[in-house]
Amino acid sequence: MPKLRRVWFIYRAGDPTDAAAVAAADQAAKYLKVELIARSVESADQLKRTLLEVRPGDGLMSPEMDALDITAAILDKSLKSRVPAVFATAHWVARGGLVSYGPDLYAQGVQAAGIVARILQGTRPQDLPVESADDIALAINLETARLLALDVPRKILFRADVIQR
Amino acid sequence: MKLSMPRGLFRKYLVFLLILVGACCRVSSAVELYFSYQETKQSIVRLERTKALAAANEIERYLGQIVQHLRGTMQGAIDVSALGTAGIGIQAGGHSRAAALAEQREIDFLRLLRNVPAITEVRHLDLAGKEQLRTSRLALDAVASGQDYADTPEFVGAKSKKTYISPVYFRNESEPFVTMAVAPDETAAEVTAAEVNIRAIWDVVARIGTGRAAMRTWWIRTTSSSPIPICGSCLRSATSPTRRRSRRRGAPRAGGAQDEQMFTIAEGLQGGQALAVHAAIPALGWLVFIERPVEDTFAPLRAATARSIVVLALGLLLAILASVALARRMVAPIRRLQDGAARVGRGDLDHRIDIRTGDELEALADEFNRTTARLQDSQSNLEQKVEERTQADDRQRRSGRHGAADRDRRGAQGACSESPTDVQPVFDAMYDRATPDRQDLRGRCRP
Repeated sequence: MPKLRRVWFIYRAGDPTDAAAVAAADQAAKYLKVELIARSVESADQLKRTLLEVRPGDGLMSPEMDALDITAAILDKSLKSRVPAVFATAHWVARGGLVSYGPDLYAQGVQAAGIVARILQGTRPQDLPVESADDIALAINLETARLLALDVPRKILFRADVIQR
Repeated sequence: MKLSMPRGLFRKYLVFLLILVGACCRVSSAVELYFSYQETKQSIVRLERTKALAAANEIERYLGQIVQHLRGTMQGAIDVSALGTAGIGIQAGGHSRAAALAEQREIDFLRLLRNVPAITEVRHLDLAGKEQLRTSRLALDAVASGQDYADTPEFVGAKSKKTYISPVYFRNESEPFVTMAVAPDETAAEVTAAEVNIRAIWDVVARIGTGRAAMRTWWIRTTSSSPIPICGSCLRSATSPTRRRSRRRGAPRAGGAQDEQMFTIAEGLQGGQALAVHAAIPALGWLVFIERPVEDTFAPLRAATARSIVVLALGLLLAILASVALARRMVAPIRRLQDGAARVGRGDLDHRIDIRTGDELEALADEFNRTTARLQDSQSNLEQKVEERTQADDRQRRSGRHGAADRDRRGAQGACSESPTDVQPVFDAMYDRATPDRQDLRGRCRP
């Protein structure tokens, strides 16, 4: 996305996960030399108004926490206004999202089951470490990429875990 | 007489038999118990050590595989540069060759991340230790960031030893990581370094420590780090390493005389006395420890010992009872002999001792009976002789005309035995001599 100048990060106000994500996104934006516009919203109306400000050539980032149907609204805006959007989990890509990078929820379930199994086998929960996600998946939707007239680099395709055609 | 009989012999026999039957057997079984205790203990320790060795091997193999994967990425880049030097890419010029190399390396790194889930980040450092490429799952990728790694232990270690594995560190005080770095065998050493999540070691330990794994505490000691416990089947950060280190006084150091000290009993990481065995991973200089609470480890041993002691006590009781019975059996005929002797001594010459033991005691009793019989015989003979003599005397006295003087003297002597003042017998004798038929008067002077 060489022409990308601004990225919108819209999230539900007061959410600690996404507040942390803003800081990380800010760092990444500085590195990639793009402008990050982080907006917290408190209502569906506010969300709607915020999305109206998004111009073609901008980018959208969906939050981790799917409150107020923010993610669905971002997906809708992305497809209608032809604005590329990035999501946290792969199932949004299956529904037409361009790209997602985040933990594989199914694999996380398996991982959590492993922890439950250990506890049931007698390990004290306080002895168990906090584990980070084993599987972090990159998913890409080539159909959406075509719709947005984007050329997907070979490297991304190589790295992608899920490719929607 | 019977009551005053000394009991010394019974006691002597009892003690003797107790020593013979009881003590000897008990001592031998006690010695055996001691040795079997030691052997069982050793076999338990050996079993734990086998587990530690297996875990050490698995961990070494696992880390070795990751190192191989890391080396594999270097091979791709070497192949590309070899193609370049072989002349195929000469026309394209140095710049495009470097680009091809970088692209190949990036693809290799991506493949590495895909193939080895434990690696979260991989970096390529050039000859000067500057970062040329970083591919990461969690952080941003970077190309030619130029970040300086020249003084880091991974760069220095990989340059000198070709393979470097750092001490374990914890991300977010939770997940164990090591930094690995490899350098190719050529002199111009560029370094590939990776951050590796070694959480998979839990699975290794969980596989080996089956059964009552929850009772075991596993931990790894790397050369420079504090012990890293693997609790049950997990690994977690030691919250207060210094305290724990000081508590592990008995733990041997890495590279020390490890085989001499098979196990240590010391205060464990979980508190309480614990048995610790260890196995070394020489390539890494790590020690894998297994720690189990002493009471849990030696529970089978204690059960076996308790069983042996119960059997021992029962045996001892049996031995005492048997000794008492035997001693009684041995003393009884002697008692009977003593009783018999006492009765004979009291004059009961008709008494015969009845002992049927078939041994020397029976012979002794028979001998005694024979002696008694002879005594009885001789006594009855004596009485008979006295009787005969008396009768002979009487006959003589009655028929004796001749030898009167002699008879007088005897009669006087016999009669005068009472008292010098008692003259009656003398008169009697005189009367007797004068009237030989007055027998009735004679009887009065007899004692």
